[in-house]
Amino acid sequence: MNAVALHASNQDGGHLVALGDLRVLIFEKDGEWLAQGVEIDYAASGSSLEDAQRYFELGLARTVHLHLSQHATIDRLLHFAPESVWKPLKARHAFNLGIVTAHDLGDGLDALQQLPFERIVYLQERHQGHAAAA
Amino acid sequence: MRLPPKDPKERDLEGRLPLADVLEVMRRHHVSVETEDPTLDGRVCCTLVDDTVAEVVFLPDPVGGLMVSTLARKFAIPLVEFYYFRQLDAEARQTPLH
Repeated sequence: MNAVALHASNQDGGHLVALGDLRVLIFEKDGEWLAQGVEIDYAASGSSLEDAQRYFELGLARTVHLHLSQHATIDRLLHFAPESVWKPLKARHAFNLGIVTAHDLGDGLDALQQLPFERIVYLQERHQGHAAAA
Repeated sequence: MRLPPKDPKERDLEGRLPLADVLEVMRRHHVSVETEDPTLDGRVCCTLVDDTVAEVVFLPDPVGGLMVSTLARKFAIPLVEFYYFRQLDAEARQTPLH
């Protein structure tokens, strides 16, 4: 499974950004939930699993918008998280694999209105007593 | 002296810090910080930009330890500074003994 990033723009300043097969790890510690991207080093926290997912989606969309506003490209956003973050994925039994995010983003539009990502599936670290998120 | 009660186990956010402190440390490390009005659940939309990183995150108050560690890693700020910057300031202000 390979992550895919697509960025297209037109002469009117319109942008289309699609992120596909993006893996997101979910960690929980002491009541704080953290969603950490693998192919994109972006993270968001929440007080629940759903909370972390929601703010990951909102924050990443706003971050894409920020990069487009500043650099007119998402190239600087496309960095893997450090190995220490995603290395646990090598233990396949420890995580469920999941994926995918896609959205449109246009200049002059509110990025939040372009959401939600339609196909994100989150990967949750498998602990005893924790069900896997899907 | 009686110690303050611990948080309930399910809400014991180890290492949490006030949002203002987190943002203060980031500003000290030349991170541009812009905030918006809190959302309905109290989160603050923060735009954080330095020479290499630019991102928007919705941070709660207080900020949990996992997120503090993530911000420290991404912006290459020593984690200890988030937790001890006031003490470090106080030590720096003390007159050296000769």
